[in-house]
Amino acid sequence: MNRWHEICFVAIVSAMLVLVGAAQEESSAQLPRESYYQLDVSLETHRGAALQLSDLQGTPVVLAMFYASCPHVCPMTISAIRAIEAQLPPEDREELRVLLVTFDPERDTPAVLAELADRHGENNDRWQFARTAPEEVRVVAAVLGIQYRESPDGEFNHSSPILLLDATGRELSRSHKPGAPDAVFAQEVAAAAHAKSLLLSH
Amino acid sequence: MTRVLHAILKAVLAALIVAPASGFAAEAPARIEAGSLSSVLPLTESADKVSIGEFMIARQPVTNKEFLAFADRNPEWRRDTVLPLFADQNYLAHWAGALILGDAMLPYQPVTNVSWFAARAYCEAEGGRLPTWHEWEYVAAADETGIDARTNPMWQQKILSWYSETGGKALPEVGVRAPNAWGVHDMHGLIWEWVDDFNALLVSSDNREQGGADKLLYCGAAAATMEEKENYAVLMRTAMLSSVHGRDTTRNLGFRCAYDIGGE
Repeated sequence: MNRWHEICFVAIVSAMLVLVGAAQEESSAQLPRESYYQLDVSLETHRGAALQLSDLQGTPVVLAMFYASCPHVCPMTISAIRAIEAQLPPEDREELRVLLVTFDPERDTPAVLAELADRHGENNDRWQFARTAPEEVRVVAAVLGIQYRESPDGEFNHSSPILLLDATGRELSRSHKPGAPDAVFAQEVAAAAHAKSLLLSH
Repeated sequence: MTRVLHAILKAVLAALIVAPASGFAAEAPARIEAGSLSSVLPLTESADKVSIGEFMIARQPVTNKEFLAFADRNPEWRRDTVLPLFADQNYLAHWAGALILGDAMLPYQPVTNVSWFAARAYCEAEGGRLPTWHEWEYVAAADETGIDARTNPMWQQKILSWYSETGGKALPEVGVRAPNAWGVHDMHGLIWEWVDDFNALLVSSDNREQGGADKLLYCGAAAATMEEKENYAVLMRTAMLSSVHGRDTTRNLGFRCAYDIGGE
């Protein structure tokens, strides 16, 4: 490569980097107004990492609320998401993220959440078991249209939808059947994940 | 001597000018004593009473005028800028403009067409919060003479007759009717009010059993554990609040703020 080519190459790479950077900046500044990622809430994951909802943009996300000591519904919710994922081709599954937000941030510390992630075999980079500050739980639930209440024995009674968000945090679909197979929802998740993986392979 | 008289006269005049011309000026919130309540929505089937800690609550719902000042100070809550995540398209739609009430709206009418998110933000800005359902229910149990009028058929009848008449008519102004025994106005007969835990109301108190899609949806059917079923007047409030989302706004739904004691 002669000197001239080298200069051209550096210039082109620099220009590309600037463009990519600009595109990224634009995407975070220009979330759709109806995006759930407009909600400014800080999460802490099962790995102890800080997470903003808007950090999830870029891939489709399956989202639900739960709590670790939940005896019945929450394990079913997690199993339902795993079952949907299991049907996806590996390259599509790679493009899906899962976020589970706890109703019980006082007890669901990162250590408790990590233990739960292990128990479900999902202690990985794609799944986030996360908590918010206690006073944020009701706001997150209200934004997502989820009802819950804590009973005196420390249990949480709650509605259990599973949501599918697009790469910009808009709701594409929601399932109200955590305990039963929801073929329509599963198809929508598969389509969103596949579209994303197609986008990357072209 | 004349100088002293003059000073007294001046002080009296000043007091007259500062004093509110009517009941509209915001009075200090009412202090609500701790107590217990047989709620229409008990925490568990076995617990017959809900304990209520001491707190304070605004004597009147928030007015158009007050909310206008809030929207002016906090542009993210103007109707032309608010995010659709936090308010639906009818948010403050009854005002003439984003910061103009217009001729059809009176400053001292309760503000309505406000979402839960907006109501919550308003109370936070005031150093307060929305009351919980149980706090609201506790204060609303009073009539003009006693703090628990709920077994009084007249009280029930009065509330129910308001439900049957709402719609269409212009809303009366706040604070015009006699206060209840706590010194709080308009808990009934004016508007529906947001509570902080509105999205906790349709959840049954005991429902970890599974069976059927409906049960899974809410982890159980809430209606099964509603108590005090004769108290339709109050149950209707819970039915309404449990049917809305945080971004929803309606023509009759407003709010008032509560305050923790010593939290100011």
